[in-house]
Amino acid sequence: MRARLFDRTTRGLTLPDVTMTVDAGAVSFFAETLGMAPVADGAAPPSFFTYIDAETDVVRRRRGEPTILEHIRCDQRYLLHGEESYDLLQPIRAGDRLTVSARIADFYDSRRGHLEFAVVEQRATDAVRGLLVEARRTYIHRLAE
Amino acid sequence: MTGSPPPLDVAVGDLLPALRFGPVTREMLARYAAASLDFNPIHIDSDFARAAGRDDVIAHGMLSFGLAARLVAEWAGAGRVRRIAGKFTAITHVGDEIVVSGRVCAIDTGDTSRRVRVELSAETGGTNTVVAEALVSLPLSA
Repeated sequence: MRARLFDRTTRGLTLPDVTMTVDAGAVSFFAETLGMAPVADGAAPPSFFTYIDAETDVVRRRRGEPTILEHIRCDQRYLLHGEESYDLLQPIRAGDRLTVSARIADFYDSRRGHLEFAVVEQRATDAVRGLLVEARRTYIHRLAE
Repeated sequence: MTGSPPPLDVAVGDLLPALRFGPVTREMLARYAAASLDFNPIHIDSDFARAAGRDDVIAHGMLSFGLAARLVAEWAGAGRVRRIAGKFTAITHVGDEIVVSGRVCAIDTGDTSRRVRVELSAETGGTNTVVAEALVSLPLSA
């Protein structure tokens, strides 16, 4: 079995906020890729926050800051995605001006130590409409085959 | 404001129309990587995948999660989905077809709306890959 890989000293860390405008083309392409027709009311597909999350990585790299995965020291060779949840207080829409906050919430191990888990929480708030999404993602490292 | 009309006649046990996607190709994974900005090489680089002990690239779990979310959004209207949550239980490979199904499992009627809980699953070749649930807010029935 491999030694544990996540950097647990980052537990509780809050990353600097990222602001961005939701691009209409990005919403449309995301929907098309899932085989969805253009949405009449402009609400992004319910899983669209995953794009917002990845966009915060792009912004952080441009700012010369570590991404969430770099903070917690994810090893892509052994990485699995465990769980994902989005509480959508309101739908994300093209043109939203978002502030995205991120916090490294927790680390824990499976009972026999074959897996280790990291939990990341994020919130997206629109400048006008207020809180839109509370997101929670669990990453897993496989420590044994 | 919420697009298509909501389903009004809803009962516990109702099945959502099943959704089929694929078979998954490397091109679909490249497109999903671009659409979601998830360029983890395990999904798009066969050499990397083999070095990591896989036979080939594997599908993004979020692709199946997104299809589960799509099933609910197409049923209720994207703007009415209040929660989507899922657990990834198995891997989807190139060549697999993804089948998503959903079932209404609870209805909580309030003063101004109904909160409908839908259990969802994505599977491929009979193996469950995502187990998910959604909460949808619907108007009261007439």
